[in-house]
Amino acid sequence: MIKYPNKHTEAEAKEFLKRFLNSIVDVQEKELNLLINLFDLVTYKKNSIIINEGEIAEYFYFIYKGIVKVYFYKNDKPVIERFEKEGGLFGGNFTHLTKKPGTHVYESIEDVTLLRIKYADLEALCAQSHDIERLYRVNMELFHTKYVENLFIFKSLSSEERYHEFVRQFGDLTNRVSLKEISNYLGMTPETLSRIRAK
Amino acid sequence: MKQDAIKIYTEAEEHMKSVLNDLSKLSTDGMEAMLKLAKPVTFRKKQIIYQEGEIAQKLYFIHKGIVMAYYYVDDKLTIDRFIKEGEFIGGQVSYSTKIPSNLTFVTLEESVMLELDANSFLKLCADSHEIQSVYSLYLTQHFKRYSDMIVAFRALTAEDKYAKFMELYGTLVNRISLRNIAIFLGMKHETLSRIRSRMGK
Repeated sequence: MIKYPNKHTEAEAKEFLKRFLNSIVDVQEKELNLLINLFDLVTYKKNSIIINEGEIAEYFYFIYKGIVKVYFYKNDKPVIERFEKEGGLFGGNFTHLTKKPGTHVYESIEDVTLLRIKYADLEALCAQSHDIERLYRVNMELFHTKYVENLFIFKSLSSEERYHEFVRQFGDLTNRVSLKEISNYLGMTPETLSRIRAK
Repeated sequence: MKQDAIKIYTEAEEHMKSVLNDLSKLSTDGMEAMLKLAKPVTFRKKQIIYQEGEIAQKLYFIHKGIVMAYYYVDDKLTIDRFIKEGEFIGGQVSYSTKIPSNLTFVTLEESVMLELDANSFLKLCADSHEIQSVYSLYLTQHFKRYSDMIVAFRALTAEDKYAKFMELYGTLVNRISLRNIAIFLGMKHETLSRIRSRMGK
């Protein structure tokens, strides 16, 4: 990981984060700036582990560029739970609250540029600013809704339908994520996936 | 009868108060504002609280009873989860996100709940930082439990799944039918019976 030296990129990334947050809830400019200023920019090379299994996450991340896969191990085999792309958020699955070692690995599958904020700073700001706390809450609600919906899709569709749903949701990712990873995420063999894609 | 009703409603309020206070100590004003929104209601067994595709207009605090959240996959019942006494339900937060829920919520027993009008509750959150904080805390803990459960169920063997079920819902085991437990765990009725007898129930 390197702390990004380019102030220009940092300003752009923060502008992107601001637009993203403003599209969720209206927040006063002043309050929003308090939040944005707590973020700093970091980059990771492709295939870097950002948060590892067994860690307690110190930071919450926003993706400016790149893709991160989130997975855990089942009998020593990785199971991909989700992908996060530009505009996505991740933060170690609540380990900052439980203080128990995390079960998930967060790994870049491209070079990534991220904005990160310390949980301690985020919590202190939430306690101080009603607006920011509201933003945090609504974000969490939306995230959870998406999570449950994906689970629903996973359980309710056939493998072929699951693939088409993946393309609908992550259309722009299909060429950026390997077939092996997509098939792992969809819970099918790479052969089944190739067959579906060939159709 | 009327006395009994008043008693159980008072108990329901006390119950919600203690759940909220366990999360974060609320001021007297904050607690009163919450209780002012809460209206006691009873549901019969097997009564639908939220229908799939609906945007919830009400939130509920469950004082007595169990709620099951489910959906159908090709006419096959699939159970997302059970919701216990002391928890809130809101149709998958659809009252706030305005995204219709995929799930149907139904009571498994006659239930006593406190009903809160969703818009009034959201307005209270906007007006009171304290209520909003306690609500965020509740949501965070709920989501954490939920995602733990999903990970556990994807990663575990049938035995371990049942053990996890007992950990999460052990106190309810005699109140949920074996059929529903088997559906929830995604295993055959026979497999579940075998595991239960091996584990001494």
